[in-house]
Amino acid sequence: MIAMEVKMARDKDPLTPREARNRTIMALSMVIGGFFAAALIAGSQWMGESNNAYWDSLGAFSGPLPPLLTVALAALWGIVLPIISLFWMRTIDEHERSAYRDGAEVAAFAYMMGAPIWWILWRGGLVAEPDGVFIFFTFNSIYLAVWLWRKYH
Amino acid sequence: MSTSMKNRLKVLRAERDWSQADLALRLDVSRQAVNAIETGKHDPSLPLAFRISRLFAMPIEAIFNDSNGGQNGA
Repeated sequence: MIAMEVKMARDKDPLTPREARNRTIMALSMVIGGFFAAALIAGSQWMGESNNAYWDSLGAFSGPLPPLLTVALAALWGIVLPIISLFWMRTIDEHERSAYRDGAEVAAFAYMMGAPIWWILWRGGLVAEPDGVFIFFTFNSIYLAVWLWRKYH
Repeated sequence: MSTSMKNRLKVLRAERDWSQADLALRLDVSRQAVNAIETGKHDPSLPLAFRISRLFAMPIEAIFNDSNGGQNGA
């Protein structure tokens, strides 16, 4: 049985079944992320321009959204995403889990250093008010960069 | 301070004419995991070390050795 699987791995698909499942889940997550982003932009346009020209230029990260859409997106993020994450965590191997945790550790450290610095400088009137969405995306960018670096490098 | 273990995984794999993907499939891990272990970037957990040991029918200490050269001070 395993000899046949090894032969298949050699001849056709270099991915192990575990890695194939991993990539399927990641692809599904990206589709959901794309849907989420598209819904944000469409909802923002439906409600008219937001009050933040900078974020508008990046694709409507602030401003009002239709209430029903916000409930649906919150449910998607709060219910569907954790379920997918649970399946993903059960699929990945220990190396990927280690890379994922390294990403979390570095991102958490960057957050603990960066957010208070921004906040205290804002209190001094030196920088703009801390932006939660910007901090969230920065945190996740660092998380993703370290995770992928540790996995593939 | 983190220290990675040296191992003979690449040699043992080559002796059997297995690719990294072949070994990954037999160990039920990703190819990246095999590569990371071979290059010393990831130290396998004890359960995975035992799976490797059983796969090659060799004791763990014949595949992996730490920086102390096997001297544990006992």
